[in-house]
Amino acid sequence: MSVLDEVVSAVRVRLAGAAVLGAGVVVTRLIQAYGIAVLVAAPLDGRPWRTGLWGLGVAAGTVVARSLLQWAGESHAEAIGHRVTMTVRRRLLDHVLALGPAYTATRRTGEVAATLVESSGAIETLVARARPALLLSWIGPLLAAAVVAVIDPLGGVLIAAALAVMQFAGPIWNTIGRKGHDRVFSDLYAMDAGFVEAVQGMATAKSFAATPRLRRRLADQAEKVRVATMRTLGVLFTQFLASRWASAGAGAAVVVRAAYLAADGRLPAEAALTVLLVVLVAFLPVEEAGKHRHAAFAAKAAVAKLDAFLAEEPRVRDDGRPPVPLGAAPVVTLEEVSFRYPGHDEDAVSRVGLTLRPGRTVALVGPSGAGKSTIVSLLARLADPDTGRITVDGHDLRELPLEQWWRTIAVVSQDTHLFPGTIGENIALARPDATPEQIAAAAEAAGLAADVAAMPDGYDTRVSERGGRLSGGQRQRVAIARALLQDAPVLVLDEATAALDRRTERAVHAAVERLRADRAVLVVAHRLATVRDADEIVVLERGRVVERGTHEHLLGRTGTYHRLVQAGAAL
Amino acid sequence: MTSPSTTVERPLWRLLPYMASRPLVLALVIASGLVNYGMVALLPALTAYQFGGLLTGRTESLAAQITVAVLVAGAAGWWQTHIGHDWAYRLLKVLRLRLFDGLERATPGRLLGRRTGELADIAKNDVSATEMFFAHTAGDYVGAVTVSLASVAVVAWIDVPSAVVVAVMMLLVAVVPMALSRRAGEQGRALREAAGAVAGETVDVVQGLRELALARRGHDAAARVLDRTRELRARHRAYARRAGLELVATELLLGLGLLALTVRAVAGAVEPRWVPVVIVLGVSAPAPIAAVSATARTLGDVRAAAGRVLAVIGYPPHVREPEAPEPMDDPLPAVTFDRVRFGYPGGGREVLREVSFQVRPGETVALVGHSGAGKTTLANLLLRFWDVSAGAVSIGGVDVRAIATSRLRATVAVVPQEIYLFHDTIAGNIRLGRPGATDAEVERAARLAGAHDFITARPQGYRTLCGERGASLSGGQRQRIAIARALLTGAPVLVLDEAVSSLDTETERAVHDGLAATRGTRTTLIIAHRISTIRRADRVVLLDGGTVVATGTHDELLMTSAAYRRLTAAEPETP
Repeated sequence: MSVLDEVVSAVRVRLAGAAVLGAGVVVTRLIQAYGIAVLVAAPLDGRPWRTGLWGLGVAAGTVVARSLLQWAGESHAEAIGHRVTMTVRRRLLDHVLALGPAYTATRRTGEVAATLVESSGAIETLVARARPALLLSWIGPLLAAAVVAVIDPLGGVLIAAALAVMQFAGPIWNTIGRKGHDRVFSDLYAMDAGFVEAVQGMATAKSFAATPRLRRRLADQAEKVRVATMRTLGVLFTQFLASRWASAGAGAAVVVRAAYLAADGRLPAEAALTVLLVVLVAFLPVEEAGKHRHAAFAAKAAVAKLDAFLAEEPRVRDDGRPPVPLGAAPVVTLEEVSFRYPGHDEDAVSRVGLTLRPGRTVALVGPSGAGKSTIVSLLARLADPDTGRITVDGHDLRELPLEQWWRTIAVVSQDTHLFPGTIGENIALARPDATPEQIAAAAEAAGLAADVAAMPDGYDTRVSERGGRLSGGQRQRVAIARALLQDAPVLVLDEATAALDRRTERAVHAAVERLRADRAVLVVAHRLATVRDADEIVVLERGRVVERGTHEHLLGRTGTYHRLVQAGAAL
Repeated sequence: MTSPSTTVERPLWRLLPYMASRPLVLALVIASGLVNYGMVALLPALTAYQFGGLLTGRTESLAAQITVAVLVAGAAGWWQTHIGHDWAYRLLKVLRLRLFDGLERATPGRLLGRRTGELADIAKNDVSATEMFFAHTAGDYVGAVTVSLASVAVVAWIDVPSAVVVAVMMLLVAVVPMALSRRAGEQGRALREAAGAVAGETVDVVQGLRELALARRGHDAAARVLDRTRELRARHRAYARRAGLELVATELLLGLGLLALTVRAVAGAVEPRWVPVVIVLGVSAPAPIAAVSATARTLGDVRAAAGRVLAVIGYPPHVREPEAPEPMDDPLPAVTFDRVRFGYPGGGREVLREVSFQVRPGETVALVGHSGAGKTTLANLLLRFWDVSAGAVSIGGVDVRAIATSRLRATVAVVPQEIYLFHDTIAGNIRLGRPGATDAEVERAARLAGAHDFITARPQGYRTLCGERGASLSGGQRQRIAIARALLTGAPVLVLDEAVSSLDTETERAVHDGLAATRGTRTTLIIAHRISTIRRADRVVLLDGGTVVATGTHDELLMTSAAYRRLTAAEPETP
């Protein structure tokens, strides 16, 4: 089911209300035409004009009624719009969460976010404005045609025929122009992505004097968008031409015909005048609907994108099973785990086995690209192994509710995202109910307390996007404080101290040292100093475990670890 | 940091010069509006004239004239829409490129005040929103006003008081939205700002999903976005109320005016055969004005969007381009920081207080100090992303402020802490600073940076796509691509800002060996924490509290500087 159907069914009743209000506006116009005709007909018929004065009263009543209906329609449309936006946005956010980081990590974040934010706006306009207007563009002219038909059947038919041309021209032309629409939107998305890139990569481009090329590329993309848009609009505008000929031609013919009938005495002047005035307003709803064409046009592509996005299947599934009873300090085991990134032709990790036990630290070392970060992702269940399995106290990780597992494991990763809010809130990310004292204690243990004390509002200092003015080292310590505060029995440190200076790193290590006692810890690190104290060192190369043992044991062999250490020692 | 103003005064007014940039096109756009609106009034008037004639006993037929009018009306509508949109889309392109230029001038620094999501939002939605103004104002406004005045003139020729009624109607229909337009602008601006903020938060949820998910806060963050969306409701409501009020006012004015006109006409002031014409003009003359004022109703949004676009376009540059740049072609220059002081604008405390040191030609100097000591700031000053507040930075004896910035950035290559890879191939990313480099040159740079092996291990090799949509590269791999990128430029000054922090010891050594192989051919400034990196430098400069506290070789500093020992002490020597 398309997201559009879902949205429409959420506001079905309100949409019917909108149609009724709109039809009410049309009816007041038709009655007003009759009222004025009555007023004007009197002198034309040679009667004193005051005899038609009651028509004036009728017309005045319709004017007032119409204003009120318009007012109601406007706030009604707003209410529909709000409901639509909320529905779409909620649906999208739920889906983003269901897809999880495994999805967003591999797509352009800009594109995903654009899908989220923009589409809801386009659909809002489509559902709240364009749809009711479209419905009314049929109801309105048909009501007018009916009124004319009562007076002059042929006239009524002509109005209805013109309406058919105006309405069917659209779909016919749209079919012709469909390819163009798609083209416009794919070009538009490419250009938007280009701008997101320009915003993010500007500093880099600037320091390499590469901005002129970036600008040229954007100029090309913008030109493509322009050409594609105009080509599509060109087709669309031709359709207006046919519509206008039909409405103007039929209108003039019906009015002139009514005048001839009246001149021949076959129609009372009052009736002919009604025709004249009804024709004047008959096609207003079609014009009104035309104003929303832009929006409908934009929404169509947005809906397609949205549906495609909502059809994406999460790679990590939570089956909604009940929590599994785990020990206070669970044992985590990787059993023959293999994983390959989609589109790659080599396993990122291959048949890896290792066990994390409470009170023990396992260190993962190996050259860049050996698969260390992939193992972290698998442990954090950002992805599931293709073959093999990960168990916790003997339960397959896939049998655990995600929530339960994520409460059990804390991960400090290479780059840390800070969210809008205060430093304190960022530290308490995984434990929002933490007291200020607990937050301060975690910051202290992560070596961050002095930095926070130097900030203008301490823990209430707001951080801006991507950490704003926090240095890389400070951000990393926020991440460490987060993990410490979470106080999870399984702790993963993924190159967590790379951006720290020596002094801070030592402080952090002391904190981690204290934690190790009763936790299962996995350290991914490049610096030998940080891994030599580990209970077990696992050496990875090209996704495989090539060696394992203690520092002393591994030094005794002349394998990869030895080579890595030699390289370090020579520095 | 002073955040730049987020909007400008009278934004729509400032869009006019864009529109007038090709006067002939603008003239044609206006002419198309005149013809189109002219036909909108003429055709019904002609029909009504025929109608009035027939009902009052005249039988002359205007069929031919009416047929021609129908055909012209259709064609004129097409012409106006087409030429108006064509011009508008050309202008949007110009605006997009100006926006790019504004973003360029503002980078880095000013962007920090706004979220990336917000800026992207300006580039995408706000620019598009101005299409409304470009395509639907010039032709429409001039056409509507002229034709309405002409209609009044026609009515005046028939009956002056009737014309007065029509004129008053038109005036009121035009004035009411204008009276409300200030509020419309404020509301529109507030609405867009608020919507932009919500957009920014949504981007945050997506970008930080990994952390949110692991912290089990994803649903909280989503709920927060929804709450913020819900909070927008009040603003939307206020906006709808105002728009509704305008609708009511317009409807009442047009309706009651028409009735007054009709009464006047039928009460004997107008000859019966002209009555239909007067009534039809009474309906159709104010219609264009009403349509235009309906456009004006939505101009609130457009004005706010244009304000944000123009604010970015108007970002002043951080630094001024020298008027008479001095040549800078020293193949092996010294880099000198002379009593440099600097504080970020609006940032309060000075980051650098009197920093003086020199990197001699061909020398490698390591810059060390605690996080936040101002090391990266020095690199930014060297690249002239900002200017010093006192003192001077010079390269080869020339003040950087006297060097053309394009020349300066060709002289200094930098590997920054936060590496950005474009959505392009690996080779394309390495070529960033020197697009004309041959494949062999790219490969040589990649080898020196220790990147060649992992690149060729990929099935697509150098043609592997990077960036968010591309291959997943580890932090270390990204760093090596960035190093290769810097080396390829052949710039005589190289700045490495924490450039090897994500490398394992083996790879780090390979990279250092690569750099050492070409040592002496460039002047190098390395910002580093690692002893292994620092020890390879010819000299070490220790920065603390915004000033240089010690200079010397690693061994010298170990002997002479307590601060240096503290910074590096208990460094567990490699086993």
